[in-house]
Amino acid sequence: MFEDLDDPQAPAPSHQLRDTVVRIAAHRRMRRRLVVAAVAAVAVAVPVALVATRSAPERHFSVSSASDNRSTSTTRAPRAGSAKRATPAGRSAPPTTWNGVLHCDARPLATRQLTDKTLVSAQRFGRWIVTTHGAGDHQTLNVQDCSTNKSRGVPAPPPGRLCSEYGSLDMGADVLLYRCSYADGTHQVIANDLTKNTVTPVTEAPDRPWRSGSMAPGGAFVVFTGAGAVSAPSAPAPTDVFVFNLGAKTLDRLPRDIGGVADRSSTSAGISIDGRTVLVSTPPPPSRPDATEELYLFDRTTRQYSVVPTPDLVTGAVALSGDGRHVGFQAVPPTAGQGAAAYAFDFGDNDSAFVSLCAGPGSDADCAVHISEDGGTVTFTAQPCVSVTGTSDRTGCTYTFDRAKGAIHKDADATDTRDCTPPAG
Amino acid sequence: MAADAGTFEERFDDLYRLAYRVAFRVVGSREEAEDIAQESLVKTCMSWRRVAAYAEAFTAKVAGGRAIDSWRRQRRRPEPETAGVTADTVDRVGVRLELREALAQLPRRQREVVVLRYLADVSEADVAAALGCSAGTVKQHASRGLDALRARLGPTRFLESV
Repeated sequence: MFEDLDDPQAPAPSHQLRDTVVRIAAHRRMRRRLVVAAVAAVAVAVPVALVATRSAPERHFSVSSASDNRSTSTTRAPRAGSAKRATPAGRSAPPTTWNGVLHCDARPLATRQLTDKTLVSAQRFGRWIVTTHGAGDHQTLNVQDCSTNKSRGVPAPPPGRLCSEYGSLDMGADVLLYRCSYADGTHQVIANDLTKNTVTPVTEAPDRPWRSGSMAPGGAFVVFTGAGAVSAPSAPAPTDVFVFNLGAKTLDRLPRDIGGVADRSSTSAGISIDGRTVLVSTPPPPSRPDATEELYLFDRTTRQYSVVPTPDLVTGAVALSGDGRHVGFQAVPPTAGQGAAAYAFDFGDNDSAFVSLCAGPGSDADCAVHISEDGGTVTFTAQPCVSVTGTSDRTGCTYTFDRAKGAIHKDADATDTRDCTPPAG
Repeated sequence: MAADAGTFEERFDDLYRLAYRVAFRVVGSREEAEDIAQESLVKTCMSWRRVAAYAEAFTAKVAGGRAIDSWRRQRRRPEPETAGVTADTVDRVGVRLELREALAQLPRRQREVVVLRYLADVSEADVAAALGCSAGTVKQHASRGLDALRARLGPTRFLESV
């Protein structure tokens, strides 16, 4: 729409320009490495002084227990007075001191203080805490078992090359999912059973490499989105949803005919414990020009999609219950002037049920809507000062709504790192 | 094991054209747009391993951000606004001035989405990948950003087609 502002005599890129750009980039990379090496040398020489005087950047993190055993919560907040927002320490970042508490179900035995200069991320998956650490040109992956309070490293997947980066971390039961990226741009996706100590590579379709994915709650299936090559800068990358059965080692590509419209891209949003039901999100058809996305449940036995009725503006994450018959999601109610709200849908119903407002008008906050295994409770995070249905409390934080009783309660466990104080006035 | 297709060198020409287009639409100066495009490509090249899958969106985001920063710096200087502007018509210069003002006043996320979607013509899915959010969030930001632009720019042919 801004074509009139284009330069009709735009200069054409040249080989010389390309070579110059590559050379400058190489030079800056080298300079950055030298700076990092210099900073690292200083950190090794005087680590005690650095920590004692707090002259090094310091970041705090807390991995909280969540209202549901499968929920994860990772927050990183800077120490008071710190000017910059905390970000994960990458391989090329200066050494950083992390101080924090890893909670394991509030058991004193399993609570530990951690100071680690290489910690990149920490995530809580029920019984397990998974951390990635950056060291030199590669990362390492560690798990802590909250039932025993023991930590151990996860070996790099076969053929044993070191991973330059770990991503797509998720967990179902005791099976850890991760994407291991290598320095040469290739990758492997691995499902690692932490109790049986088995490693299963996840098969991908050659035309749709892995983009993102998650584990089924029971740890038997992986559902993921594979993305194809972009044909033009303005064209969206075609995406398909796949289910990989870890037991049978079979890959199932979901059909692209969704809701009576042919050849639609889709992304994965969840899978049931038994692997039969998959929740997918797809761009809206031309008949819904104002919609952000459409949600569908796919039955892998009947190979049929069924639509999840939603308002036009679906925002934030969506969640599928473990039994595959209930969906929780966040959307903006059709009534004008409303903020975002949490909704619940039961398979077979014609409409989704409003649960509660969770974000103010104009806010793009993610309410982290989660639905329990049987669909009986919906957990969501409300912003401070939002009127949560069924309670006079307006201090925000995480709430659990019991759908059978119609009762709502505030989840105290999730409040340890969040500021629940409503603004003055 | 899966391989990610395309090297930086192979995609350089398309990325450069994209970065230049985004920069020129904001700054309106050929020389400055060239500088911004080159700097954006250097950053893309440095981060290639991480951003190859959504290189267009990443490059456009960097170029858009640098173009707006560049204009902000210019605004603080005493030179006339049109310094260095090529053969733009008065109409285009006026639209650019309004557009920069309007973009600069958008919240950061909205501005990134508007620049990527409407100045760089990047698809929603790739914007989502570049910004690390869902396509729904992108659509929401785009809608609110456009509303803000319309409120600021008033009726203009540039926004009629959206």
